[in-house]
Parts: sequence; C-alpha cells; structure tokens
Amino acid sequence: MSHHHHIAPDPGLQPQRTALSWTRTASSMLVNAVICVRGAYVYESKPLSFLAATLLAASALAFWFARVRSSHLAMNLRSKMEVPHVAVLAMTAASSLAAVAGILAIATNHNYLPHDLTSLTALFGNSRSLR
Amino acid sequence: MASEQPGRARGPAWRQSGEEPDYRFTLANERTFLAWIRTALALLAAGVLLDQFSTKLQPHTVVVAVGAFMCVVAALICAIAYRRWAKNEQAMRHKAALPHSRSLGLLAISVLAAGGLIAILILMYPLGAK
Repeated sequence: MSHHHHIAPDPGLQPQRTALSWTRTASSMLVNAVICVRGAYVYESKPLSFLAATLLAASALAFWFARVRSSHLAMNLRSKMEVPHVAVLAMTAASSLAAVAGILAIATNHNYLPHDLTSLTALFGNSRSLR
Repeated sequence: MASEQPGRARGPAWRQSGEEPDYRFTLANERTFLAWIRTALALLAAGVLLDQFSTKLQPHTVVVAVGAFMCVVAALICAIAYRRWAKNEQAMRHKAALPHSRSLGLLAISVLAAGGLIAILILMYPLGAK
C-alpha cells in the first residue's frame, strides 16, 4: 500500500534532472555513433558499419527511454521511482560496445585489421593474408 | 514495508534485500551512473578523434597509443560505473556507508597522462616539423 502512494513534488526537481540526465547521455551516445558512422565510410569497413548501425539504434533507444523515464517520473508515484535496472545494464553494454568500436576504428585506421573483414574467424585468424 | 510485492521479484538478488531508500537517493545514484557513462563516452570520442585528426603530430605511434589507451580507459570506466551504481544501491538499501572507490583517481591519472603526453608532443612538434 505504501508502495503505490503519491509523493510530494520535490523542490529540488530531482525527477526532471534525472530525466534530462538520460537525454544528455543519449546525446553523448549519438555523438559516438556518428563518429563510428564516419569511420565505417572512410575505412569502408564492414564490422564498423555493423557497429555504427548498432550504436545508432542504441542512441535511439536511449532517447526513447529518456522520454519514458521522464513521463514515469512526472507521475510522482513512488513505484515509478524504482531503479531501471535493465536500462542501466543496457546503457553499460552499449557504451562498452562503443569502446570496442573505437578500438576497432583505430586498428582499422592503421591497417592492423583488414578493411573488408567479413567474419570473426578472419579477425582471430591470419587476418593480414585475407586482404 | 512493501517488501513482498509480486511485482518486485525481478532484477538481481540484492534488490530483495534491505529496504527501499529515499527515492531522491535512488535518483541521485542513477544520475551519478549516467554522469560516469558520459565521462567514458567523452573520453572515447576524444581518443578516436585524436587518432583520426592528428595526422601531423609526431611520433605518430605515440598518438595512436594514447588514442587506444583512452578507448581502453573508457571501456574500464563503463564497467566501473555499473559496479559503483550497484554497490551504492546495495549500501543505501542497508543504510550503510557508501563504499570507497578509486575510480576518480584512475580517471584523474589517466586524463593527466594522456593530456600530458599530447601536450609534450604538441610542444615538440615545431622541432620535429620538416
């Protein structure tokens, strides 16, 4: 019963600040996705294109979740203030994936990896002979 | 209070232990997590762009190494951000002191090292220029 009660609006605007924080993080993700798109075009790299598409989707998801979180928090319901565990995990995973894309972009830029990498076995096998 | 609600049975085990903290603490912890993620993403963008746009800095191997290093630190900070968030959440549920973390030190030293190295390269560049 105490779980579903309305809470008094916070004069510190904590719900609003939290929702905006998600939007800012989604924007940061979008910046990294765009950098990855640039890398995919410049190096004509297949794995980078795949990662770029994934990162773009992740930032779209993050913007969508920011909206959802915003409307939930605006209800001032105690039950809606709960920790969004799945979203936190997903954001961690997407950011880690962005880091992988960054390392891959640097490796491709300096020809440590073939630009036309097609499979994971090529990544771990003798990748240079495939070029 | 309100600890045996059927809707609460999802998520990791620690979410069933202790009691729900003040919602403002939960939201503050959520924002701290997001701030760490943004820090990681900023560091990552800086590392990748450094590698892609600093074509004239010499020796180039050092520039590439610094860029890759920043990417690795960014990945590390992502993992640390999640760990910190979960640990803080657990501590708050049990009204315990928030756990000490060395992540601020790691971030400070990494940024200092990367920034210092690049600064040295920029200062040395006119000497190495053809």
